[in-house]
Amino acid sequence: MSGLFGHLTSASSALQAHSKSVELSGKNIANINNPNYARQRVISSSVSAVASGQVSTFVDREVQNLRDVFVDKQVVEEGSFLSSFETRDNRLREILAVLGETVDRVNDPSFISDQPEDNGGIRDSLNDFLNAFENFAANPTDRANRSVVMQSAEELVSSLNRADARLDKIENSIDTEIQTEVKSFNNRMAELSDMNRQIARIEIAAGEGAAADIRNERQALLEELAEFAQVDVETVASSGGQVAVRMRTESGETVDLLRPGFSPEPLLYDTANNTFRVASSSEDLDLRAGKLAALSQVKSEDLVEIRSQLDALANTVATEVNEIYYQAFVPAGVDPAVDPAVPEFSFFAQPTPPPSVSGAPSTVDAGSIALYTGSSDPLVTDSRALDVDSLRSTNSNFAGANELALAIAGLSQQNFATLGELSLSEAIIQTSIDLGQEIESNGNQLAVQSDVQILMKERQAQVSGVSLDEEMSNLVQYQRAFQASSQVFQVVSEMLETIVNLR
Amino acid sequence: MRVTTFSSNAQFIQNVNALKFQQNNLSRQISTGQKIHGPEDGASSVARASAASTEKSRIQAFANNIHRAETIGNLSLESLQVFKEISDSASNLALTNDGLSSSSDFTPREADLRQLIEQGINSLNTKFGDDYMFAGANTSELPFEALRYTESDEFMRDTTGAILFDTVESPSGQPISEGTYVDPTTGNQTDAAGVPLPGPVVIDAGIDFNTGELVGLNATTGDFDPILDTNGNVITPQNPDPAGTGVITTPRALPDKYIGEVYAVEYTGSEDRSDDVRFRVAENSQVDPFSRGAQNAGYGEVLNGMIALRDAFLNEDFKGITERADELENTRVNVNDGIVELAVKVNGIKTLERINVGRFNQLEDNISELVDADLAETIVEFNRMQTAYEATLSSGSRILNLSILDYLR
Repeated sequence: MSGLFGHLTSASSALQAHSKSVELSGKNIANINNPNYARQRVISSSVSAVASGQVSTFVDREVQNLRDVFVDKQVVEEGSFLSSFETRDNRLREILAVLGETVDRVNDPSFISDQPEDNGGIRDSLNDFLNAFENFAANPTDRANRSVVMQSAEELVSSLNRADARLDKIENSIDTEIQTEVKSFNNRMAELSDMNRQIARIEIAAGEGAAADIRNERQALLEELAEFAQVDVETVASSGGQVAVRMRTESGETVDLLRPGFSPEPLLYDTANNTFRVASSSEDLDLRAGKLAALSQVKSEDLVEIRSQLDALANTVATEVNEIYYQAFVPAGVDPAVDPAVPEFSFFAQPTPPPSVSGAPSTVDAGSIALYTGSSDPLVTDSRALDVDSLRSTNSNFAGANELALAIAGLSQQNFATLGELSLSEAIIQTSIDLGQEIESNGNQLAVQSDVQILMKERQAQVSGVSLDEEMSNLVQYQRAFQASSQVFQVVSEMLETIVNLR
Repeated sequence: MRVTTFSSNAQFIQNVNALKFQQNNLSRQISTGQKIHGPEDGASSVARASAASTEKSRIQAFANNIHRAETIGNLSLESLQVFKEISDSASNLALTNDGLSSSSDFTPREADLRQLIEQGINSLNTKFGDDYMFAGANTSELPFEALRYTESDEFMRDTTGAILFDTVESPSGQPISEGTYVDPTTGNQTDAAGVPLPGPVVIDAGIDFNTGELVGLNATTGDFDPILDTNGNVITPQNPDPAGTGVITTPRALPDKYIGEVYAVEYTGSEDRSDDVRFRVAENSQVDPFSRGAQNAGYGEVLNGMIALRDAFLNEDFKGITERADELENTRVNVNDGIVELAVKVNGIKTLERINVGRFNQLEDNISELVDADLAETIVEFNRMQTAYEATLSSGSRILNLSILDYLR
């Protein structure tokens, strides 16, 4: 049993404990809107001490940072996936917009006699081009029809060139974004390294958990890092609470980006090869998820796929039209059997002459497709650029004949091996639809991942979040306890006074 | 389960955002009338809508072609029907030639034929826009070129352009044959120089080797008098063939009124079937709305038959009129065939037009089903979403507005 002085000491320690609890409740309430903050509380325990043959009871207090390490780790991991899907969704939508494959019922003709309107997409340009030839075949001598053919051909070329240029821009902006994000990633790694050091300094001196606030900030930073790429985080034993950050290489090996006591390894990006690595490893990294992984995937897979499909379309259009339209020019005095014919008229500038004549594969793509502008061959004396006047519907001398126009219009009904046995318009629709399906699928994953992320954040909040009601009721509780302990102190003090004043 | 203040706020904001997103989406559907706008909204639906839209645009292109084909077909048919009526009239003139005896009987018919020929040429040279209807593929060239007599022409020509020759009959009724020269003093047949041919052969007509004029024996006077042409002029063969081996040429003189008249019609259009103009009016369906080139060439023969008939009337040649009329009838079969063929084409085109309109409307319905929003359904959904939004705001504001703080004294 303790004496009165023991009672006083005990009451005093209780007052300090309650005071600390009130302080932490205040801190919790102050951070109620800080999403990175994990609530803290005082864990009180009763400790007995024997002094001068008397037993005293003290209230021992320990500050606890309420975090669930497992949930925190999951939040970091899931954050990578969410960021991946969000980034890819944005970029895929950007690419889809380039194709201009939208459904616009306002401009879509409702009646057969309505004037069709072009929404500027590649499919519409292609349809207009083939339909213009269809009408040209029906009325080859009509100048208006010839003008429409030329306008639609120019628009088709321009829409393919435009799409290619926009894809170039998207690719460049992806490169720039990756470089910027790599820089941000490395900056955060440097911040993380600093925090690691601060936590170690504090906790080695004051014990584990002493640097709760910095740990909170570090957790927020790790969650941010995960948005860039999937990182493995591990607390290193006996390091004063420091964490190591690792990534994996393509072969599955782990590479340390941050180790306690070392400066972080900067992440490097090779724009030409679209690969990531750190200087200490000869292997490329596999980012698995995160914004950087998504950007890299869009660049190396989605953009390449779309480009290849657009190029195949442009190449097929140019080659097939030229196969029909091309007319060799044999200069006077030249024996075609000895000297190859030089081109006189083509529709598209490349390939000139078409592969079936030249034997060389066509190199035309969406970026280089252009209308024929005349031959530069000095042997060609009357080479003319393709225009309204030189446009031919036939190779015969009859003005009303139309075999060329009819054959070119007929391309709309043919399927081509170069387009996966699809027709021209089916190919561009398929390209858009593939991309649309990719967006849909990615969007579904994004929705699921958002739910997972919300769930994880809720679980994290359940452990670490601050509840105002809870804190207020705790505050009342602590206040009452403090008042009660004060009362004890006062009673003991009066008892001592009584004893001291005994006469 | 602990509900923390921050997460409860965040959850509230998420709920409000989700409802707002849905409302925006529905509002967009109501304002645009579409439930999908791009492949990202529903790839398979957009794929089908895009394919249907492509097909619609092709059908619209076909509709333009059908319109042109129908115009060409109708115009060709009308022109050919007019031409048939013209050729009917020409033929009727020939069929009612009984009782013709004098120039006053022949002349009006010959004049009618001249008019009919001009009308016939005009009807076959019908043009639509820049294209001649009866030229085959050679649509930019005048298909039926009228070859006309000029002021420098003295003789009539046949439809091949060759000068027409009349058969000059001798008084005995025997046609004067080749190289028939006569000595008018003896009646002996001679060569061009007047040297009696072996025989000697006494003939009653020939070319007077002295004057080069056609002469025949006048039975009354016993003299050889000049044989006159239809205009009463002396006939001087153009090529008396002094060598004595040629043909007696007796070109038919050109009446003055024939200067500027047509002596032949030449068809300049294409004739080969392979050159006929065809174009697409539906998927896998082409039409040739123009009159076929080979038939057009036949119409030229009808015109030339009418010209030959006119010339027979001009010559008051009964036998010739009958023969030319028969020939004309034979060539006119082409016109009837052509009319039937064009009528069938026009009917076919009209059928295709109906099919195309039907297909277009069906595709429009399909697209509408895939893309268009059901306004009633969407507005009901929008109201539902709005109610949920209001309820969320109301409940959220109440929850957020109160805490234990409000009850602590």
